[in-house]
Amino acid sequence: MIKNISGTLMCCLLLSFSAIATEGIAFIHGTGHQTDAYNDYWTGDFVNSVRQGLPDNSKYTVINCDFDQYMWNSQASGCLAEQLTTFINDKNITQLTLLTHSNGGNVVRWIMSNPTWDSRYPAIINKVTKVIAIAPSSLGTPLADAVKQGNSFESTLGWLLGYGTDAVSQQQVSWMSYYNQNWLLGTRGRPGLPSEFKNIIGSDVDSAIWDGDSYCGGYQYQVALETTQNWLDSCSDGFLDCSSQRGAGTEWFTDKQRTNGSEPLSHHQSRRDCFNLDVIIRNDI
Amino acid sequence: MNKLKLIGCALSILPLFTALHANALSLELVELDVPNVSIEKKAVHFSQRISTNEPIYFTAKEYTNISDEYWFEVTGKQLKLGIDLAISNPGALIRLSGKKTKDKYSVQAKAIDPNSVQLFKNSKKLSAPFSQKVSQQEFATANIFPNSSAIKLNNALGKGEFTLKVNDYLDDSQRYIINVKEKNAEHKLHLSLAKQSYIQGEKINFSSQLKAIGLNKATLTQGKQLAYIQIPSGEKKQVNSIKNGNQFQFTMPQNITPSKRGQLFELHVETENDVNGLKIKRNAKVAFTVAQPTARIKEVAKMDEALIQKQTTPSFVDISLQVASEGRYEISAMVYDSSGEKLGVPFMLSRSAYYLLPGEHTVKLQFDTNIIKRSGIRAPYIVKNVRLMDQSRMALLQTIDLLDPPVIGPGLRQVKNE
Repeated sequence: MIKNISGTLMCCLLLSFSAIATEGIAFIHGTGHQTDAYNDYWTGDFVNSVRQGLPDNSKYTVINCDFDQYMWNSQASGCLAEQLTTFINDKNITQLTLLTHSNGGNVVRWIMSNPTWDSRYPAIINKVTKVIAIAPSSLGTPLADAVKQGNSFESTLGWLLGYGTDAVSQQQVSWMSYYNQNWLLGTRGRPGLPSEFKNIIGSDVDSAIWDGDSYCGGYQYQVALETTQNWLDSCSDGFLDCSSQRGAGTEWFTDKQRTNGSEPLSHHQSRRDCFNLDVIIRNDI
Repeated sequence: MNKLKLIGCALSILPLFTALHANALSLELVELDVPNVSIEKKAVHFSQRISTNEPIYFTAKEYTNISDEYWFEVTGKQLKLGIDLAISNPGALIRLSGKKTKDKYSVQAKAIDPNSVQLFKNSKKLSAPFSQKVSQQEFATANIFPNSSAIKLNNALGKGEFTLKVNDYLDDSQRYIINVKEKNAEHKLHLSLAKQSYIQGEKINFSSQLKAIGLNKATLTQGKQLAYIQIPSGEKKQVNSIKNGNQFQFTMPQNITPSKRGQLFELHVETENDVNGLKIKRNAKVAFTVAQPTARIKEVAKMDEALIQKQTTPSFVDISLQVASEGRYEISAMVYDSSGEKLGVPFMLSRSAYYLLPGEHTVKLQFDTNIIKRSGIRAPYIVKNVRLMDQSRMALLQTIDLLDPPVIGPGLRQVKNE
């Protein structure tokens, strides 16, 4: 009898808690100055598929900020904080999932690692239940270093959605080492982040012209990403070494472990609805 | 640590002290203008639970860049006449990137068509020397390396010295970067900095060694070496380094500050070695920062004895600061169990930030009493790894490490820096 009562009570408590909780998701883009990330960075197919995993699928936002800036810049993390605060307040969000791609993971880590930097940060951090970081550039990338080579006084070289910008400088490998050691949490030997930060790892690039999988997200991107692997480890998504993607937080999965057909996700494909990625994320939020 | 167990104070904080970060006490503090950027003015406090069995390090770590590549700048005229390439590993990738000056009226150098690139060995033109060609259009389609093209040498060409020519119209004065990437090369340059964060005036140590994988990572004879600092604007500054064994030492020139906060300096090293008649060229770079001493911690845990005796969960510790430059400063510390199984394991990270004017200040590093209570860890607690950050200028000013201090008061020790 006592068991039944306590069981009912627990059930009611859980029900009332879930009734109070309002879950939301924010899509946070990578390097670049976005004004329409819904169409230009993620595509509607990806966003609309992922948000179906929410109890109320209207509780989502797609962030548009200037991530060509350093992550601490007001146009980067300041802009992100403003848009997240507005989303949280307008939609009464109590449990927030952040879905990041590439350098978006670093901007989020900046906020979560530096709560006293900005009075808006603590309220955001306290709402974040988890961060799903797709291919985060947590330890930087040798491609950023390559872009900056010979960069005395001038630079015209660029890279994926960023042409020699401050964000490119920031993502050079030894620069990220400094920021990780002094300003960011979550890497080995540093205190952990205040919320779960779990990574999806892209491990290879398929660019065989006869392989239909090479065409998901656009074949031309695959060819370029295959070439950039000359600067990278044998395990990379064409833009980031796997070690960088695993550099902060915990690994959720490496692409081939869960994707349809065990297909790898190139850096471009990991922000598209390729090989069931959207459904895997949808089922987790 | 056994002493601490005997103190018997139910609820108190034991701040332990101290070895100071990098001359922080001996250096004169400097008064700098407030950076012209948006800076938070409100005091903000935040504590988070730490739950890890992994070790956490607060001491500065060495950083090593291992390079299997080199790069240099040439003009369009030089490319048409032919440039020398030293190849130490078969199948090298060569990237050719056109530059453009910051002048808004300048014209970007014409991208090089990989089909116009020729390769010579001993003045003899080689047929089919490339296994792969990547055009400017292919790179640009994916927004990677715009205005760049690349060629990959056939493995069969092997090692040695080659001449690369561009058989196309190029403006004589336009400038290009040539990047020779020798993935999986036997010889790599190891450039190491003892740490990446310095205080102005501190000596900077680095080592630069060419190592060979095939020789059990044997260090090879030091060849030619050029070292310089690149400041964030791109300007190069030669460094006068002193050799001391395998180490080189230099001091950053005074009055060089980044134009934007958070930007880093870079130590660049270019080397050229001759190994059994094979020329090996390598470039490497490592980023670092040099902070201006704008403030310092004077005293930690100057607490009221009456407060300690109240037997309540501690909610703060006082920290005295000497501030020379107006700005926003964060103090942080890890809170540890002082006894039992979790001895030496932190369970909370606390930070407090304040906007401060020049002068003497005593500020509170606030703790989250709910985290302390929920931890189930009984007092006394230890405060360690105290850090002072200048958030306005993004500078790590001071890190206070653990020594074995005397304890005063009922479970609380007062610490002074003076």
